[in-house]
Amino acid sequence: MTAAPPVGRPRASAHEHACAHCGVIIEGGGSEWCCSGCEMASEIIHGAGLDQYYARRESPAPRPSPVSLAWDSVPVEADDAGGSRAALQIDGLTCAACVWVTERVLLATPGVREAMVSHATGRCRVAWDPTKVDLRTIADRIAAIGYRPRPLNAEVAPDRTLMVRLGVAAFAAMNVMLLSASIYAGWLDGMDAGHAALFRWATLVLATPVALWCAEPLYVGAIAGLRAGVLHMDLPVSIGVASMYTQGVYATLRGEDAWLDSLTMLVALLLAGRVLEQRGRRRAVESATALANSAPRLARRGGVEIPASELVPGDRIDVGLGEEVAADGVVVAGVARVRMSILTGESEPVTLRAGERVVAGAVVEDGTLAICVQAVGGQTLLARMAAELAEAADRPAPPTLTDRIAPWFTGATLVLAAVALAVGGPPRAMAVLVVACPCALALASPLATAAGLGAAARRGLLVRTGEALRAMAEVRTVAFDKTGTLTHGEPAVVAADDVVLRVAAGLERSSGHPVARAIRNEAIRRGIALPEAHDVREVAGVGISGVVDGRRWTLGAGQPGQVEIAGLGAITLRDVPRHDAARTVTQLRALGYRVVLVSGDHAEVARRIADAAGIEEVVAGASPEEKAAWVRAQGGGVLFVGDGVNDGPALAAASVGVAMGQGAASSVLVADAIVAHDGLGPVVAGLRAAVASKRAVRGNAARSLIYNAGAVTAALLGLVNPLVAAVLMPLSSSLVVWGASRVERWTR
Amino acid sequence: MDALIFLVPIAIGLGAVFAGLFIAAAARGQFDDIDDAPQRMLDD
Repeated sequence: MTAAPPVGRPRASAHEHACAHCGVIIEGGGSEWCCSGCEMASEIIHGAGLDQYYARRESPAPRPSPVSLAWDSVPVEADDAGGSRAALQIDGLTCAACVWVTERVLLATPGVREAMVSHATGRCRVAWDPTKVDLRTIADRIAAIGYRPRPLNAEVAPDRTLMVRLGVAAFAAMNVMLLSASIYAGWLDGMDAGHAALFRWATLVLATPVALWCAEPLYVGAIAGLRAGVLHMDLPVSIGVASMYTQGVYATLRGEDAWLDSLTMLVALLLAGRVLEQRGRRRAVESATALANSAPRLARRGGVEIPASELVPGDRIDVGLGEEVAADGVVVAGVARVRMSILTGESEPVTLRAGERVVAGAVVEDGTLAICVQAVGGQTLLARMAAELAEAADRPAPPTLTDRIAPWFTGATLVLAAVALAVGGPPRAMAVLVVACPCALALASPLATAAGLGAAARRGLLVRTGEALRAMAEVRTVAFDKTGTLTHGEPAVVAADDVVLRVAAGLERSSGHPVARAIRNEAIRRGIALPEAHDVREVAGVGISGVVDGRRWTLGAGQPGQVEIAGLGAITLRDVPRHDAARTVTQLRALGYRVVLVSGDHAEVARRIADAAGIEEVVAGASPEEKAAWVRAQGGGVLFVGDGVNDGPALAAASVGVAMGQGAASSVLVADAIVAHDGLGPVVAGLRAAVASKRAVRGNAARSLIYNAGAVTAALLGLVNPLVAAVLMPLSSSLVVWGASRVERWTR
Repeated sequence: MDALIFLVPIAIGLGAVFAGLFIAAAARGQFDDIDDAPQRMLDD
């Protein structure tokens, strides 16, 4: 790495500067950092000799805050060297430098042996010496520099066999091709009979594992299809492969020409298509599970932190500022403002007092609560809703275009093979079976789908399955939820005086409250330096008070939708549409989609947001069930974008459910696609990619059908021999690859 | 040309050795994540 100008550490004028770690503008005189957490983070990074991080990062680091998660439940594996290894999920990694610094800080931690962080998914694999360090310390190190570690439950191992099958098939195909080329050359120049036999036997040896083992997924697919009463595209392919191999064994024994080169090439190409499709899908699935992996929480019982899983009904737990409630229960003491948006989708916090019910997943925004636990773990409302939704999302996949062609194709192939048998005997029937083998057709859909999934993923929409992508191409109506989807789901400052904002931002300099965040962000946006506040005290239910510029100020609730500094002025806050909401709606309408806002909120609020985003049609005051009913009433072709648990039924009912990545875990679980970027633009990009992919599948299917029709006619006339087939097959497949490669261009 | 009688099996055998190495690499997770390695290289 070379020394670059320190863009990550901007320096403002003499009396104001950016926090050296998190980049918040602060008034000078005092420290280089805005808070002790940032100072500590800088010390760790400097201590590990990683100062280049500040020069290379693309955006300032998040502000460090401690994590209170249960690490005991993370599956830890023992390795041969007496060490332990485990996987964690790290949030907040935005650039290569973030990944780099995290890895290096971990490696600089005594006892850590290995640390690998994935750029794509933020997954961290770490190995350590259990006698020197534990997982909790490792997690704390990550948190100390500002990134957010989360426990990760057992992951699904990728299917390595498919890759091995492809490798073996490709290896065999290349060797068989070489040997076959010699045999074909022998047709012209003449070949010693002994050599020809040697070459034929060598091809048979190479082709045997390909036909018997590598092609197994094709047979499995065909048989599974037959059992389910569907003629899957795998069936004609399997028939082709099986007959080619049978003929190959027979021909080799008799010293005749075989089609084994076509067989191995075909299997290798089909497996390559599957590997590509799997790769595109795996990334989406991994990101989704990472998002949805609800972390096991800690709860405080009698002043001691314990994993939430150890709670039993009847326990009394304390929940403080910024903490998440770990179980369902009844408030027994305390007053607090609690945000339940994970369940209700409402961004406004509600005030809870003794005797009122509270559910797991609610976040305390100010105040403290003592709660008597009634339901824990899988019995909580949140867990039950998530389970129900996951079940609802489990629906059968509709047949693809190529699946619909398959029965006709299979029938036609068998009839034509019978005709060829009558006309030209077994060799001609064999030629028909070989060239009719729909390699290109079977590749058409997976390749175009993989290209579509990739095009969507690069633009921030992670589509989980090929079926979802195909369903997206049929969408006519795009429905948005309001809170957290069309809007940020958090308050933003819409009106405030600079003077008021400056003092408020100073008071809220280190608070984690959403209102504090909104005030700080607005101050930073306006370029106001955050003043230093002394003697800051947070008083539950009243607000926050502290000394700024030598005077004591108190920031508290004012008129509805406002916070107020007594004797100075008020700040108006409101949930505002996302920055690209209006642009997204305009683009969707230009593409001919019907755009609807479906909200659980009052008609007035919904109308205001709809107007700001440019949406004409509004369905307001809808409960979660009513939202789902509305989706069903549209008769299909609905893409629903939502974020909360309350959107779950609608997401499951829609032909395509899209969840916001920052949304509730359960909505991410049921969704067919996830928006991974901040904003709504990925939805448009995903729809474009789906349409492009459908167009490519059609074009590919048409091209391969024309090829197959032509090739079968030629085979019927007796014009096809193994050499012709060996040349035609890759030609037809490259046509399909070319067709799929255009998806990316059409998506733009 | 009779050399082919043992050269061809040797060639296939050599190829099989490399195929075996590939299988061993895949089984140890070498190809589990092929998107990350090219990124990682740029870090050092």
